[in-house]
Amino acid sequence: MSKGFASSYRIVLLATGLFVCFGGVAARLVWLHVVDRDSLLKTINRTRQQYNPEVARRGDILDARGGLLATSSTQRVLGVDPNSLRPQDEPRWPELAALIGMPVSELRRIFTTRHRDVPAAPAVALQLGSLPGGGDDAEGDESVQASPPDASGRQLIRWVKLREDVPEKLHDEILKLGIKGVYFNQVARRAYPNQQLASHVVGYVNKQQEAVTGIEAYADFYLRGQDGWRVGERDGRNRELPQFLDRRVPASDGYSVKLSIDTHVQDIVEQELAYIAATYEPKKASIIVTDPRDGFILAMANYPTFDPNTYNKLPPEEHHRMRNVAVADVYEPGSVFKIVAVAAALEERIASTRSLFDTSSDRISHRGRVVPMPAEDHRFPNPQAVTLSEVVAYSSNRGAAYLAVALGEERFNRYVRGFGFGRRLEFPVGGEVAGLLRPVKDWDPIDITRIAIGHSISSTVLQMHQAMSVIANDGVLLRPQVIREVRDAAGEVVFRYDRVELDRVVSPDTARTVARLLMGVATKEGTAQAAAIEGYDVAGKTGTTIKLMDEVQPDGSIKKVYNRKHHIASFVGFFPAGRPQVAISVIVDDADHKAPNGVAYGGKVAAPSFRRLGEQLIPVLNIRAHRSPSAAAFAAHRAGSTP
Amino acid sequence: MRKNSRAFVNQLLVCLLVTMAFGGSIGLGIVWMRHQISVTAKANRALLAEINDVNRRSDALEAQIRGEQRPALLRELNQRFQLGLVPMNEVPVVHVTENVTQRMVERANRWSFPPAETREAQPVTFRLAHR
Repeated sequence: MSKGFASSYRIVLLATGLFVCFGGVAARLVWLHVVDRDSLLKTINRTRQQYNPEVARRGDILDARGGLLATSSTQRVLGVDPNSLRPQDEPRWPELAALIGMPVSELRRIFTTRHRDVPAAPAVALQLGSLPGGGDDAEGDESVQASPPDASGRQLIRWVKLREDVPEKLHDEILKLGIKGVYFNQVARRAYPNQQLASHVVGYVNKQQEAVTGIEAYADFYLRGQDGWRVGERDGRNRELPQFLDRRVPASDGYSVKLSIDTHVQDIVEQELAYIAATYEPKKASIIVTDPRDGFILAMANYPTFDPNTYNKLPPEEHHRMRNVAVADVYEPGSVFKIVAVAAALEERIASTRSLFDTSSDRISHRGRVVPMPAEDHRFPNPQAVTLSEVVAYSSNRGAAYLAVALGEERFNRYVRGFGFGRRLEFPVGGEVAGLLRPVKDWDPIDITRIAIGHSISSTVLQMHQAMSVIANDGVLLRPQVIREVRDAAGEVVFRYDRVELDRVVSPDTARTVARLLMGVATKEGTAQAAAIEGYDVAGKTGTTIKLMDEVQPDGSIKKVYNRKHHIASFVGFFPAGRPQVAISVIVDDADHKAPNGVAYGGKVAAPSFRRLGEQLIPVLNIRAHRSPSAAAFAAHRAGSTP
Repeated sequence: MRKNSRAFVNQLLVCLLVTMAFGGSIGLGIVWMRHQISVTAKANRALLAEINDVNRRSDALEAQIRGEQRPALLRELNQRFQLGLVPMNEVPVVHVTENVTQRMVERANRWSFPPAETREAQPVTFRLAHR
């Protein structure tokens, strides 16, 4: 046996020393990991743990052709922490000022202002922990961010915005300067590439990334996605240590929403509105274009309008521009409303296309009272024998009133509500209102004669449009819709919207008969010759409503009175009448001062717009003429109904 | 007895040294592994940041392209550069309502046998072969 290389005494000493050292280390480890664990973990968590949110990308809003109406992008915002600046970087300040297009004196003022006194009511919110590089989710709109005030009531300025929306090239050039304390924050931004196009439908998201109006607000649940987060550790320079990632919930990007709005159609409509605005200088105007077969909106535009990219630059007195007046404002629909009385009378077989009406008397007896009949705008050669087609074509007020009176309050009210008046049509955006239709028990005897001609009732532009679509759609009231599909982040369809029938209002036969009668409006004899489209049968109805306006009374009070100098001109129709493919409503409010002869008639102001729109939509929507059967039937109709 | 205890201590020492070497190499391996994990995690994070940056640029570019294609701007450019482009006013598809076969035959015949009014009197010529 070998003697070994050490004496047993030394070996024992060495072994004991080693065991003591190991024992010491083990004891210390036990102390740290067991006894002191909680307090140490608390310190570590406080100093090293980092919570990082992962912001989900908001989904896009697409038009019917897949074009972007709203999208999300990230913007780089350049800022400076004046308290992190180094003196040796000062010679490069003028270069930075030149790059960002800021006067050197202004830049120097910002860079040298390191404190500020605490205002009595802080104008900007404090944001703690806004450090360089950690601004993925920082909101860059606050131009100044500061630390909490010290004992003397002064705040350290930690961030001052220098420039928004820094392009890539400029970003690289600024980084090359290497000025410590000058850094970028990334800020989520909503972009509307088409600017004001369909802005009332699309809506907008504010700077705090909150959806405010339109589809942005209605479909926010789908669009916004779900933010994620990760918890890990950071080093002494506040940099994330990805190897110590503890937990992570990834962000789920928002779904995209595809609308039925066709950018091309919408553009045509907005051009027409621009033309109307330039020609007539109205107070407001609205145009709606839909496919009457499924109720989907192809275009909806209002004048005045706004650009959602710059919504915050609108002065308070211009905020009304953001209102979707087609669904949020009401007006008296006027003669267009006569389609309700005519359709109801035909459906109830109270009148037929061969019926004759005596429109010569200016008073009738109704519910035991003598009721004055509304005046006629058209002089019939034989007012004692006016046919139903003439009632429609020449917009006979008394003819429509007779039909309503013959129906009676209850039945007429049922049809009025059936056509969608006095209730919301569940249109998803714009703050739809129900309009004004009093309960039938509150009607005076005169009311039925006025409601029949579109007075004593108020509706939205959309309600009147949908009522006309009932005629175009074989008597069925459809829910007006604007969302076609919801798609996930991978582009797969999650939900598809289909047509929704709200009510069967009249039979298909009645609807077709009314459509044929309405074809007489856009003819040489009708009230809207200007709406006629060559080669196509147009069915529609004009409306010219005297406006109810505030008038100061001798006693100083304000009363609403009908003012004959102010009108709302409208034309609501569809074509081809035999096989409707598109329904168009044009409503122009208060265009009298620029209208021919000083009165904004529907046939003079709105009907030409209908024609221009229709002519432009024919190639876009590939609308095919469907003339012969309906035209022949209408000709036969008129011939047969002549006394 | 003394020899045995010395031998045991020697063996113990050797075992201890082997254990320390083994433990040390395990420790070094763990350190190396953790370092590699850290490097990989940082690389992944950098890659993720790069992907996010590319996505960000792509989104911004897409929005810019769509913005440049908006109808109002295209109209303005058309006017500024006097391109004279006009909106399509007719469907570039002709809907044939009559008998298609008949229509095609007529068109073919029109080429082979033009109508008498459009036909010009042509002298009949014969080419003679040279022998």
